[in-house]
Amino acid sequence: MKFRRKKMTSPALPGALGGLLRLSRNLDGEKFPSWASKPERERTKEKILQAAQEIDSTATFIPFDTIHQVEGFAPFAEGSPADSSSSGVIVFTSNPDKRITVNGENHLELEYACNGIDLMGIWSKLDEFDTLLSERLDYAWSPRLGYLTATSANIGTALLAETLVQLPGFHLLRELNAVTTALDRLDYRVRNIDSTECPFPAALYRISNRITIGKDEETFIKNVMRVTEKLLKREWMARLRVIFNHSVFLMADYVGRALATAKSAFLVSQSECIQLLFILRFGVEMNLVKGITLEEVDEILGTAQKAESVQAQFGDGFDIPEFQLEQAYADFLNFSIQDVDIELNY
Amino acid sequence: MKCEICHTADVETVYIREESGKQRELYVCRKCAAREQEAAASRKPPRFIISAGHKGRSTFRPVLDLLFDKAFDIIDHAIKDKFRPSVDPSCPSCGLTRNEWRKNTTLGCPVCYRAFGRELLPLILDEQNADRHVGKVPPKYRMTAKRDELKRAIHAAVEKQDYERAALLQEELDALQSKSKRRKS
Repeated sequence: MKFRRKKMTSPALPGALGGLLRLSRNLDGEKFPSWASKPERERTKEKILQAAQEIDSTATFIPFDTIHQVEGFAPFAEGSPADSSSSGVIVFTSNPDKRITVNGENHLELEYACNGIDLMGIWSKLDEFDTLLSERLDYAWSPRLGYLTATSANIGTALLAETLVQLPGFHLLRELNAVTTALDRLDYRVRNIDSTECPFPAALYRISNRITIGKDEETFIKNVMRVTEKLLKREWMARLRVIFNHSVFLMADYVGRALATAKSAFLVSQSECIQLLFILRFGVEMNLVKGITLEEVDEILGTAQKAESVQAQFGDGFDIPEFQLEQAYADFLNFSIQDVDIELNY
Repeated sequence: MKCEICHTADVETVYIREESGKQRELYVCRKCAAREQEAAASRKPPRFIISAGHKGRSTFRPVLDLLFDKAFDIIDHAIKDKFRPSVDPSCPSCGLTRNEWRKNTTLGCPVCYRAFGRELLPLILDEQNADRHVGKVPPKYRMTAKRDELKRAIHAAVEKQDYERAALLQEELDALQSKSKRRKS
């Protein structure tokens, strides 16, 4: 059976999902959070919050104790902050992409997120914000080692430049191990963030710099961006290899199975729902799915992160509380993608 | 983490080395640990000599030696335990000890970098392939950083015998220093 190619244009960067920059800073003369007592952590928090409010009056502190109650709050980057009232996140109503984690691993971690992987675009904003804060706070800094952090692993610039990418092409060709090993040898950190709850891997990866000293911030950011761009170009080639060297059915099977699960499941957890939607997004990118656009999938993905909205909208009429959220997510998925179907265009 | 002796293999075990009566914990690979143990065994003097008596008859001397050795050992340990100085170095600011830092991998405060600097710098160099910061400087330290950079550049120019460049850099440094003095006054 032969399929006629209908459309085969490469998106700007297929699989580029998001970017994040994080600067870790500590205050001079204060113990690092993991060794500090509660009053010491509280004092640090007050200093940071005051400085942040002087720069932007919309700054609000949300303690980690109560963060789960905040609608749609998802952590930008992975971390293990101490669970207490003096540790938390300063959010800015004026700019939801900007955030300060207080008393996590370090005293403060300035974070800026973006939708694509244009990290240089957000670096100037982050740099400016950091400079404004440094005029109000006394940072721990050494002329030789740069910004001093709680662990020596991110000393120097104390910068984390991270991109979130989806690599299903490499997954279908079973080449992901080679890719991650190569990136590891080039001193980049690669982490798979697929949920174990979902039987279909979405091949979601975070790529970030491992080295933080010896070069300036812009060089680190440009290197991460360059590596991600090259990787995504290779990913596009891998997707084409799947179609032309193997079979379009391999890809259609991968997307179709996820779509069938999303349409027919009765219990779906939040992470599984998000993962299934990412596979659907891949199908839309590859023109394998009809009845939905990329923007619509992104919108559904945005709603899927707000558990309370989903539960309020779809969680009525269920008696068993432990399954209420899972049932709400299943209903939400069924409703959102009811008109979506597989279409072989190749 | 790399072995503290050979700096090539990964750490597999902890070896306690005695240095001038003090104990020091070393994080080492198995090969280096075995080598250290062998070296320590060869350095140890024989505790007693079993001597055979005349005409092959054994005497009580070895047994007595053994008893005396044991007795002295017990007294020695008791004295050492009582008057042993603190062998685990700690940070003067936060009090974090070296062993606590090695176990948790997180430092206690910014001063810890100075307190454990001798061990930290090779560790950073090993992890990151560099141990000198290049990049952003907080506004407060910009003048100091610029001065240090100029001093390093002058030193490098003098070593290369590029005296013209060194003189120019020296002028720049003088101007910077006079500017900072004016600002202070």
